[in-house]
Amino acid sequence: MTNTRDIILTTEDVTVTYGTHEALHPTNLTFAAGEVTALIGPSGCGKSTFLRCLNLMNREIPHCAVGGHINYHGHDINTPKENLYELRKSIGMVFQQPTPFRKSIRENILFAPKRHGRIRSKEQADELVETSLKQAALWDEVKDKLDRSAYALSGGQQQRLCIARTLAMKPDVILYDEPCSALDPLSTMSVEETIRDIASTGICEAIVTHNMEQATRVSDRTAFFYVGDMVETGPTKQIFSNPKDQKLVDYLTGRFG
Amino acid sequence: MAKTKEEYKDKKMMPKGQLESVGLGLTGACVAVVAIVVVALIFMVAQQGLTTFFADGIGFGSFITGQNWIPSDGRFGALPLIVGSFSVTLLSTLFTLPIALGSAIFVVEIQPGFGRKIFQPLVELLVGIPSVVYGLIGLTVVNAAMRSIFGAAAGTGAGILSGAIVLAVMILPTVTTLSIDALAAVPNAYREGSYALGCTRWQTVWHVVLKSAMPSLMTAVIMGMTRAFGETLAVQMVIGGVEKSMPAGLLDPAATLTTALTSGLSNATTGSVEYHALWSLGLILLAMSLFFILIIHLIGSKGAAKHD
Ligand SMILES: Nc1ncnc2c1ncn2[C@@H]1O[C@H](COP(=O)(O)OP(=O)(O)OP(=O)(O)O)[C@@H](O)[C@H]1O
Ligand SMILES: [Mg+2]
Repeated sequence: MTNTRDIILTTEDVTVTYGTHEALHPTNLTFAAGEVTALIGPSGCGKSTFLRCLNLMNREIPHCAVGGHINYHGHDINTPKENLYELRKSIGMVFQQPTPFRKSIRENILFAPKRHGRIRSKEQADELVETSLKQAALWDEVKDKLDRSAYALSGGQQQRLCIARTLAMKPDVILYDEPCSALDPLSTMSVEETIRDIASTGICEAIVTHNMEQATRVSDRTAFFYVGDMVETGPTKQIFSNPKDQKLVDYLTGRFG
Repeated sequence: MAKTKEEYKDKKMMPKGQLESVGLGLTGACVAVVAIVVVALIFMVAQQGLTTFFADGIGFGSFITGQNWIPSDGRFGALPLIVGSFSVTLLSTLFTLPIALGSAIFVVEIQPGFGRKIFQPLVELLVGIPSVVYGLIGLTVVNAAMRSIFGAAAGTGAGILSGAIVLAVMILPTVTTLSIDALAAVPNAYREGSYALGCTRWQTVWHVVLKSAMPSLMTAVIMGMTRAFGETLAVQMVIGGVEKSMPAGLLDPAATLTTALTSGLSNATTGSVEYHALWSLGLILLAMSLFFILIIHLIGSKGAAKHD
């Protein structure tokens, strides 16, 4: 199913070093529009490290250096002159812990668009709030309390608010780092549905997860990491039904991790 | 199984129930002591302070709004003192706040290495300096500076502005350290959440970090204000303090509630009207500090409620 899709992001020999410790060895992966890629592997193997390369979030860590090329729509973003802030408008990220800002639900959604001067009128703002919340499957639950504090929401709702907040910037890539690990099964299900719905609108997504069922439910492709190496990648069905690398086989059968 | 009395004797243990009641008694006694001290203190200040209005026949209204504090003439108008106290407190807070906030942002957001290791210990050192030292420095440096900047208008250099500047320096370390703690307590995840939306460092500090730290920052400011409001010695040394009528400007010498209270105490004979009037000043001070503490609690509980 991949051949016909537009390639949005490719990494070429991307490495990450924290100080002197190479946490990620040369990694090559491709991400296509409308596809969800799951990144799996035991704890500490470099999944988050890799994910945080894709929106240059690692630049916020002083002792962290990223090598190799990251091609986004055909041009290398891993260069010193790349504008981080411009880039992150179109490559959004959702974290493990929901991090709504100390503001109302509405202001959480409008926060970034306002900062970037994208809000022209009250009508446009209202519409953006509504469409973002609908896309994140949160609208029905919060439409009557948009001006209440985001802290009053449940954990699962806060996480979907963070997704809505990301969507409000109209990105074409969204990165998730274990977005459901702090959520109950019901909230997890609705976040997974949201991720699938977003993919169907043509957005490219990558999700780090420790939950194998989740990977099979949400992803089209899967990449398996092991101690800083991207060991095996392929369509999710194939990875789970017909794993080739022995480490992946061991991981899937629960022999470690 | 229940132990027999013999068994307890063997192990030199008290029965559990008895042990608990001893603990309850001891801790309860501590609570009682604190409660009695607090209540007695408030009661005493209130009783003495209210005598002015109930026994000495001075109206509360005229006490609060009277424009002259000349005890020797029997004139007890506390307004100049209230104005003095509030103007030095508000002005010093106004001077301190931007500097404290600016350095807190630098320390937490821009140069944590230098800030945490060198700047913060330095600032904390300032917290412990006795106020008389601040007063001394104020007297020689600030008052002289006032004279050379404003010339004859500044008189001796003593005045509200000098008092406010000295107080600002005095509360700066407290407000700065509390602000640093407030900003440092904002989880990194909030900053990353903002970066992930393409916001710059400055937008993140301004709209996310400061906003999240707001309740603790307010507490920092009010702690500083409380200190400024209650400070006596350093202010007395630089504010002039002999003036008993309404100050007309910031360069005018003035008195505050605290300075009038200390300087008046040496002349007042126990039981006189003046003596009671000084207690009334104490009562106003007490009420104000209770008010400040109340605000801190309100902010605290509001912050907690929002985080639920
Ligand atoms: N900020 C950092 N500074 C130094 N080393 C780091 C930093 N972040 C991660 N590492 C190291 O990089 C390696 C990979 O960490 P990473 O967080 O990417 O793992 P992960 O696969 O996401 O693990 P988990 O499943 O537990 O989240 C680990 O050895 C970790 O110690
Ligand atoms: Mg991780």
